[in-house]
Amino acid sequence: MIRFIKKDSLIFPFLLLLFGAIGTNNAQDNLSYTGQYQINAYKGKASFNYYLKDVDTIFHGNFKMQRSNLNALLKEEDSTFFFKGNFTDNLPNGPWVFQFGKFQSNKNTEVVNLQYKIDISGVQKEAKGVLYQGKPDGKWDIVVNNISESKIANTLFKSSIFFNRGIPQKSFQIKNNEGVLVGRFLRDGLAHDEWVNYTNDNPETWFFKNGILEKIAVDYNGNLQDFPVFKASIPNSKVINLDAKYLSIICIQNPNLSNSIAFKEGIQSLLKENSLYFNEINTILNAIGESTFSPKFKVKVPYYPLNKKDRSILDSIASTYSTGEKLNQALLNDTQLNILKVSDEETNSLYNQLENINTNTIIPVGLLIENYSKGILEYVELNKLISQLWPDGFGTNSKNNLEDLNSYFMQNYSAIQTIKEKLDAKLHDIKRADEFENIEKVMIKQINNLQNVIDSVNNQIPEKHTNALSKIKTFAESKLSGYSKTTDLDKKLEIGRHLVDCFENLIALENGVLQLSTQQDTITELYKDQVWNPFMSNLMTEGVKKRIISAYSKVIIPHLLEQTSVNLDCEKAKSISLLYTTTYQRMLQLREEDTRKLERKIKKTEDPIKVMRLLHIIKEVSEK
Amino acid sequence: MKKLKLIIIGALFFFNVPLFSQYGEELPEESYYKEPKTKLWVNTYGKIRISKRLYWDAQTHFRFQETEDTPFIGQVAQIYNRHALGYIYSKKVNFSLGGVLRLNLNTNKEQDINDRSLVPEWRIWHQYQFAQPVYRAMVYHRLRIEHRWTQGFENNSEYIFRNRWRYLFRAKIPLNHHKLKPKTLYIAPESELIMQSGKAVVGSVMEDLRLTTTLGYILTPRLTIAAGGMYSMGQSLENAGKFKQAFTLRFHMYYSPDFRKVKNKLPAIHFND
Repeated sequence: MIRFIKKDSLIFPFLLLLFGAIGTNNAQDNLSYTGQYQINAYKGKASFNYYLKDVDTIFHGNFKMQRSNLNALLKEEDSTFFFKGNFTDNLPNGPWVFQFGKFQSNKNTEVVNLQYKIDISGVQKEAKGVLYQGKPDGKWDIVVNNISESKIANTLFKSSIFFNRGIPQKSFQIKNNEGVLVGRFLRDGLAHDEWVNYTNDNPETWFFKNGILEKIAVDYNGNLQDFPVFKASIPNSKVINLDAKYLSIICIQNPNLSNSIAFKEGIQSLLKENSLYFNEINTILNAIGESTFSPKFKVKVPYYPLNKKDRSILDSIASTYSTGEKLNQALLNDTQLNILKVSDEETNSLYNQLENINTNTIIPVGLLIENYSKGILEYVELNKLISQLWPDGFGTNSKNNLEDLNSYFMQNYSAIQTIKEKLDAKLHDIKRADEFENIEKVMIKQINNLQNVIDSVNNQIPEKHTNALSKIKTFAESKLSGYSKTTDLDKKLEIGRHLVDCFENLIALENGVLQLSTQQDTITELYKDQVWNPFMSNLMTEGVKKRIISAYSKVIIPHLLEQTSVNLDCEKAKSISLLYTTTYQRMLQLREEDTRKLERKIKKTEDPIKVMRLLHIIKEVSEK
Repeated sequence: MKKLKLIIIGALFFFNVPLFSQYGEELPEESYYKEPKTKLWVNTYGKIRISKRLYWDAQTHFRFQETEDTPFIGQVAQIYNRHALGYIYSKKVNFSLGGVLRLNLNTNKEQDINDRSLVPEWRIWHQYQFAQPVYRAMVYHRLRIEHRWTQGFENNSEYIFRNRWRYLFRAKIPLNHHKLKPKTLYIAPESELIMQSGKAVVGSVMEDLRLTTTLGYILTPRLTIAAGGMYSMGQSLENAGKFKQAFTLRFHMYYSPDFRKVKNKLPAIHFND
């Protein structure tokens, strides 16, 4: 893509400093610049004259810019360009030449007259002519040549058009590999007479009369076809440019044209190609100065102005269309629905309805809206277009007008919404059933764990621990029974979701209790020291930090076991299981810490919450 | 007269025993064993850790002996303060060097009115103890050497100097556990031979032979209690042919506190690191 850099009120003065400007300091005088310069994507060496008006650069005088890179050429390929011409007060004025090349080299060099000579091959585009105040004036030639070893091998495209201050005049010629288009204009630029595309295969003629295209005749593989377009006299007409919009208009005027391959490949494509080259140059000129460099072939079309009411209906359809189209596409592309329709007849029928709406409403309305937004509707007969898009009309007693289209469209739009509601309900049921299945799978695993753990640890852990485990199990079972007794499916699903989390907490709590025995052994071992007994001359094991050990085993653990067994709930299960873990972790840390003060404090404390707070197992804020 | 005679004999005993014994008293034709006395000792033994290698050995003994009316506990005979600085060479070997102040109370019911009822006795002592495990028991060899200054109860009585050579063999056999650890009841048979030498010692080189058995209980690694009985006998200083005998009940408390800060205690096990 071509990027604009030039609007260069700030960049340009900077470039002047950077690349060494030559000129005077007097802002009112003509200045000149030589150095690197960039126009859109074209970056190269430039030299030009200009003056400053306020802070704007106004091109005035010669302009030249070019680029070629020998290294790139020798390495692979070089893209070159060369622009040369004149400006008068920022308007291109006088003779101009534009060259664009894409060249490769065979890397064979020779020295001729003390200069290196390298042959190049590739494609060169050239546009040459005179501009008058930014408009083409006189004859303009655009040529695209195929270059082989620095010689023109053949011409790919060539157009020669005569302009009078921007308005095409007289006859013109556009040719490419396929054929030559020859035509002429009236003095006001209106297409006139026969425009003939001479080709070997499919000669084509456009019959103009004072800008009105009456008919197109195509000889398609020896089969002569006539496509009438407009009548010779149009009561209410308007002059427009022969451009893409015009081509759409004539296709609506005679729908058969859209289906004709010969029409697509003939004059139409030559005009499009020509317009492309003009546009390329116009973009460059507009990036540096001001110009309207375009072919501006004029044609006449019938004009059907849209009134306020028409516009308001069309605007309303356009806005509803965008939501309706998205909704319809979303439903049609929904993977779950696409799977469901295979097994569910009702879904399949709803889905078919959606497809019908898409074909008969969404797509044609889309085309209508597209034409409206492009500004084409004013030049076509609306009723004709509507009957083209809806050959069967909107039903009995309906006319092919905008009002009826609107009510037809709104009906279909609400049909989409109704279908969506039905399908949503279907999907909801499916999703709910799926979720039930998933939740219950998880729950069964969890409850098995909770139920079986007691059997697996029988007699291996103290009775108090087993009792706590059994309380957890009972609690889980009561929760599960509440779940299975619930009949309201939505409510049941909600309970189920909650229970999965709850059972997860209970399993965590269960693990807390299960590990308790081992943890207690670990801690008892950890809180021992080897002491040398001088009377026995041997080492003896001595318990240390006895008050902490006692607080742990006689206050905290019994408290936690009690909390596990009494008034258990899902949230409590989570906090208690966390306390089991934290308590163990803290006990491991406390062995290493200096705890003399702490031991004195906990000696006087029997309240488990206070003890846990003193040992930093719970913080002040999280106290329960 | 009888009183005067006793005073003279007493004085001779304390001042001129060697001479007297050497020149005065004749050895009996066969050994003569005096009637055994009954005694009761209450001993505390402290070993207070002061550094990785050093401890303060602090012992206080209260020794009672019979009176005519009361056996064992009739009267206080000695109050005994033994202190030393101990050095832990390894878990099984340690040495001590220190002093003893023993307060001897006059238990002679026929004492002179001018005699002192309490005299100090000074000792310098050093000891070398070796322990070794034997099956589940531990046995201990203790060599203790004491340099001892004693004096009689008479006013102006002068100190005599003797050396004591002591060897103690002791075993501690756990009864309810496989090793000596807290909550263990153990039995400790021991025998100690105390020899002495010095100018004042003429012939009576075996001062004491002590045969003891105690039953002990280890309460914690830092506190043990024990009680037992001892039979002892030895040559009396005044006449090598005459043997004293005693039956002693002994009650002991062993304590070994460690007031060092935690960081200085570690590592407690590896003495030879």
